[in-house]
Amino acid sequence: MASRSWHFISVFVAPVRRAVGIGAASAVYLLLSACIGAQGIHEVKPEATLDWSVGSQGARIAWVKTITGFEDLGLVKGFWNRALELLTGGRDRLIARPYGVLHDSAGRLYLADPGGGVVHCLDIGRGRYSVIGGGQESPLRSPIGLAEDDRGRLYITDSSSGMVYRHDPGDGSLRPFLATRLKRPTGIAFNPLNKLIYISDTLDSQIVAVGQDGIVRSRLGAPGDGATNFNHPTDLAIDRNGQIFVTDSLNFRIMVLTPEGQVVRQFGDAGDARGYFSRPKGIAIDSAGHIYVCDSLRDAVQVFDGEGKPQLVFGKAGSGRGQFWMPSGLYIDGSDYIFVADTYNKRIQVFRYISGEDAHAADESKLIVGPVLPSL
Amino acid sequence: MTLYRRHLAFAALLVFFTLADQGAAFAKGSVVNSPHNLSASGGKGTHGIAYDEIRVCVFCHTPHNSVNVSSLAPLWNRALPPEGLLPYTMYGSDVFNQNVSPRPLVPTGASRVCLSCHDGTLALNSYGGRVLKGSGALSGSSSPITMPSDMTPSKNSNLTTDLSDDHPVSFAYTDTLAAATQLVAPGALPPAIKLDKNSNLQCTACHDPHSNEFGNFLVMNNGDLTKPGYNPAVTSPLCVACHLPSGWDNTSPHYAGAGCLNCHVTHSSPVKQYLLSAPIDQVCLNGTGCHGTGTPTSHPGIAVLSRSLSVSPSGTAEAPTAQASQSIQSAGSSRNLQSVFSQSIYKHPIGLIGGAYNTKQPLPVRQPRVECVDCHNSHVAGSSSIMAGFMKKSLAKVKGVSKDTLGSVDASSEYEICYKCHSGAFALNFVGLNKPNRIIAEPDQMKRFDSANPSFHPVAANRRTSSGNSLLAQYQNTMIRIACSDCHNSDQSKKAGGAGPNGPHGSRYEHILIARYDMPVKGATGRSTSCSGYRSDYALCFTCHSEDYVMISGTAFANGFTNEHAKHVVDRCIPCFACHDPHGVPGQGGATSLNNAHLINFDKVYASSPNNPNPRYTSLTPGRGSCTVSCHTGGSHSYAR
Repeated sequence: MASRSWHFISVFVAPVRRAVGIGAASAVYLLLSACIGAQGIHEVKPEATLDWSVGSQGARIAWVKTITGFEDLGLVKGFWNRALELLTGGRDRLIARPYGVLHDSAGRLYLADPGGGVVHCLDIGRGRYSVIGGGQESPLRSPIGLAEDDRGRLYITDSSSGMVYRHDPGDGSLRPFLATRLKRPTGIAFNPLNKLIYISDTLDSQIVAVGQDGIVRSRLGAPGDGATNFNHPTDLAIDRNGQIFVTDSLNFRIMVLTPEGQVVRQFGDAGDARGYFSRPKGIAIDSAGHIYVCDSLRDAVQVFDGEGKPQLVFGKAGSGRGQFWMPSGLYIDGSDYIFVADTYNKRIQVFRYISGEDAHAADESKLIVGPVLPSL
Repeated sequence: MTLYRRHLAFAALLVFFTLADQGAAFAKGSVVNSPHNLSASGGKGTHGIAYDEIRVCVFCHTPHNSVNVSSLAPLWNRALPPEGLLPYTMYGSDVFNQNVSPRPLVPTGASRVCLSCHDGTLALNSYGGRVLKGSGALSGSSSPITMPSDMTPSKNSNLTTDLSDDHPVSFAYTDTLAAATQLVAPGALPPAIKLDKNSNLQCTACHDPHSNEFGNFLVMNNGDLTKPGYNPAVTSPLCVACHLPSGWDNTSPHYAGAGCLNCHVTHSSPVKQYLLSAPIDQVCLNGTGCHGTGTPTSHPGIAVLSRSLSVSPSGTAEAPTAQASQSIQSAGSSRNLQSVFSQSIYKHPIGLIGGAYNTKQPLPVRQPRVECVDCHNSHVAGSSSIMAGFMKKSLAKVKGVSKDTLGSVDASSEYEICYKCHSGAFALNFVGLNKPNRIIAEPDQMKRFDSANPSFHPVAANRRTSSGNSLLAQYQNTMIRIACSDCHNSDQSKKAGGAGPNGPHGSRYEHILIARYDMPVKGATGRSTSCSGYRSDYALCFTCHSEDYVMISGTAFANGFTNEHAKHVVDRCIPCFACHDPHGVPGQGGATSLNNAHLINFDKVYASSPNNPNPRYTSLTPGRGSCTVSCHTGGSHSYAR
């Protein structure tokens, strides 16, 4: 009979332990988050030794970290897992085949994962990992592109269903954004100048400019390979001046447009040398105006200056640090952290652009030691 | 035109003429006419190769750079990517994982080029998942062949690893692999199927990205009658060019229709494991509709006529009609198993436990899980090419447990398949709703049917020569051996006199019995004072045993001229199973011929009590015996004929 009562009590031990654990974990977490908070993603391991020099005057790109799951954004590693599990009940999804990346202004890292049919939300600021989509009723089938507007709302393109969704992080809602369906929306970006959202419709070879009310304002481009044409454009990026950068994939070039749709310049061609593309995908601009393009089949990221002159190619095929396997999405946040969706390695790699003036500044990237690798 | 460009143009023209020499192959299967022509004028294509049409090739074949850009480094070739380091299980079933070494880590070789576009952006990566309803034919033969995209969310591959719902690629197809997994040896593959230069199987083994003449860029016709090279005698020829499950030929009833594609889906399959079109517990039933109540359908993207399943597979194809699906049901529902399984709670609980199915589990099975494939070999079932021996065709080539070796063998008797689960140390996991409660309680059926037991039903061994007096006259000399399915069967089956399928799938009677074996309740309708309806109450027993012998005259269980069976059963409504153990009494459990002859193994519920915890039967000679049971007060109670 004694064993029975112990069994009876032990039923309660686990939840009590759990409750105590939650209390303790939350307390410690709150303390620690005050110290480190949203910089979990920027934590640089002292042993990181990779960087590449860009142009001159000491500007360089440094490898920061690899994210294979929410555990990699730990405050303190072992503690974080437990805390997270108590908070979320251990519900998680693996990163399957990431494409779009976004590090929004509130410090949330979003990963569009068409392989898993979900968008991962790694909310470093609040220490929470959640998933948009997933499950039988989820409308998300193949989420590709991510963009954030000036009100902190997230836009997700679903290439398979032709829908563009808007997610409000405040209430967690996911609603269709566009009134009409596009043929295959992939890249998406928000223009801070005219407050329009630009979406590339790959199958129609057009860029669609949409207001925040979901009404299409204009369509840019037409199929073809001429000076004002696109051939299956995919990713989009918009710099702080409102210029639109389009990866015109099957024309193997990058097009730079004004917000009204006038072509400023184009650069790039099909090929396997520096400055040539074999399968360009993700595109992003850093604070100095450099243009970064993921070349998927080349397993590398190519860096150009503002005029399209090739500067640097970093990365090579593999699964180690600073190596990629068919990378696709690319995003650079306001602090020049570069997020590369290393697709078939099922991870995100984080790099940082450090401009020449900051090279000696007292920031955590000084922890990087070791030889500077020659540019490839 | 710069000099270089002129050279390039000349080279292009040279290529054109070389290819044009191949005549028909170029014109028919040209990439220019295929969906892989992604140039500005692509899709429709032109026959003449102008200079600009070189760009047709450039979407997949990265050219070396031209000299037209300044300040760039000279040419170099791309290095081949090294093997990745992260474990990335692209496709994993237990068969695949145990036999393919090294496991593919990341896509390599030509598959990279395919996947760099087919990732959902430039091209879709959901390749025609589930079947279409109805005849399965594509609408409009003149419309361009596009990758069908499945718009139903439940059919999307929302799975944790993307490529695991697709046919595996980027692994080495070696002789050892072929020998271990029923594949054609790599040297014997047809010339259309090419491995890459490291003997890896890539997308290019089944797909030729340059030629769309067979549809879906396949390298050969996979059973599509609208495409050239169609051979009505062979279904799924592309699949069987590599995959050779034994017994899979046109005598197997599953070979007809779409062949392999009746049950398997090559890309974006709804079920990752074995690339099935439905979960393993449903694929036979309503997943495909064949052995269920649904409509059997065929693979999308291929205009295959769904054949009437009542026509022999080698017969000519007929026009698709709605009757193609009804012919299963109209054949007397003899194949409709969905209704048998949903009839009552007394059934083999297929689909009770989900998750990956383990074909290589050690036998006897430990985890209480049963699926159709535990008893049936879906490739061989019904085939006449396999020498099935004494086995029924539906049970051919199934693993079982042999009583002689206790190891797993290809079952040669039906009971060996049953022993897969219902024998061994874990047999208790497989007992149904009522656990055995006999004096000698033994869930291991192998022990219960052991021929060394004092008494047993002759399932695993022949009947003893001196036994069988109680059998019906016509069975006295012929019924030497019975099978599990003689008693455990569906009450609607043909064996029971109905029209349904045979086999212990489900029954309205407890323990999946073919007939009633039921204790009547005294006082219930028609049984006010006695239970004389034993003929129907215990119909199971009296299928083989003579009720005259047992209940009227002949049995040795008699006291003087009084038939004690009748006294117990009719007068007292005591069921057969209060005293008799229907399978056998295990000698290994302590049964002796003194105490456990005649299958006597008291059910403790009836025969024991706190005063008499160990009821016992003693038989001294035929016609004499005694029982010490809680039913009779005052010690032992004896009878003498």
